[in-house]
Amino acid sequence: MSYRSHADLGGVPDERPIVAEPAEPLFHAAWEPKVLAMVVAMGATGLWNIDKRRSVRETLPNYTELTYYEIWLAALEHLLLECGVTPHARTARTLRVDVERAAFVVRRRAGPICPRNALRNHVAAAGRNCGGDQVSRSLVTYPGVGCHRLSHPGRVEAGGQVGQLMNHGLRRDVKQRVA
Amino acid sequence: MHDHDHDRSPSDDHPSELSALELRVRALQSLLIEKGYVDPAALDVVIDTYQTKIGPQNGARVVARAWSDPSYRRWLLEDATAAIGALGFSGRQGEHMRALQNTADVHHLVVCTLCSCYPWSVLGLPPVWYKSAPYRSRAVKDPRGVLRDFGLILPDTTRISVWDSTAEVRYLVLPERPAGTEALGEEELARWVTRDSMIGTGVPRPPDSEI
Repeated sequence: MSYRSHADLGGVPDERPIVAEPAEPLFHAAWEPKVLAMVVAMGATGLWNIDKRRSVRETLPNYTELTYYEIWLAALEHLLLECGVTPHARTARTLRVDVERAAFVVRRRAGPICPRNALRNHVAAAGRNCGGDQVSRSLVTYPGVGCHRLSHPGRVEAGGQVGQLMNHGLRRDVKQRVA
Repeated sequence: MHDHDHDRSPSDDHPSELSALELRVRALQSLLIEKGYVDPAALDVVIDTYQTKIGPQNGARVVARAWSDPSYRRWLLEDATAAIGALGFSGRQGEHMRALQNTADVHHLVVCTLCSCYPWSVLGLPPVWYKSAPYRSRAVKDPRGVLRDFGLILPDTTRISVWDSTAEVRYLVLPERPAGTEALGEEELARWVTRDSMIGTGVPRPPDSEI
């Protein structure tokens, strides 16, 4: 299956005006900061790297229909499933959640943690996208406008970096465990 | 904070019920906590950090320092990651920073057409418009039109340079220091620096002024 990003919006036809929100709240629903926190915390476990996370987000089939944090949530679920972060049966019973999506998460059996080759292939696919037709559209220099884009280096190390959870005083508060 | 703005669940009519999204998120959170991946206290710290500690006030301090101290300005332009880190702002989504200096001849505008890459460590979380499809589409195609949407009309002689962020490299615009601010110290100067002036969709303005 070919790699298809739904996220590369540079230059696509869209004449809608850009309107800033009044007061610009950081979040628009109570669940959004929770998703932010989970993504940040799980990112620090090193189970996946930045390229992996990005490629999962941008290939979500319904990407354009989702809000920003809905994209984050859906991608987090995908990453957890792919990396085998699934609950024991006991947890599934405890949750008693019948929301379709969550039920899907808890039904899955634990598998191997991010098989190295699977991750590498995924990142390689993302890397191909960076050199392909979609990006060339963004490289066009428009009259009177300099347009710069650095390529995504497409790191191929599995697992990303552990402990990159910023130095905003968070690390000491975070107990992370890589399964 | 509104609970239901973006939820598309029938529970909007029943505020006492949790939305489908809220349930989904709670289930996931319970899972990660039970499996021992995250500490609930850590999640609270992350949220508090991005709600109260990290924001454009950080970037404003960087800009004000660069306006006040020529050697810091040179450092910022040569090695933004280190110069910004020296003020205590580093970490996630700001690992590799580059500063872009506006002049009378060139005005820099930052976008992320691919996703919503943004220099969190100096500007906080991005506003909705930065993440929106029209901004990501039009910034590289019609930057003058985009600036017009923000009420910013630049002289035709000013070149606009658009920088498309990547997952690794994030940009901070160093706006021109406004005329008439020569006597001001760093703290006062920082109050002139708007978030949008550090993205390139605005310019510095006097504190307490209306848009």
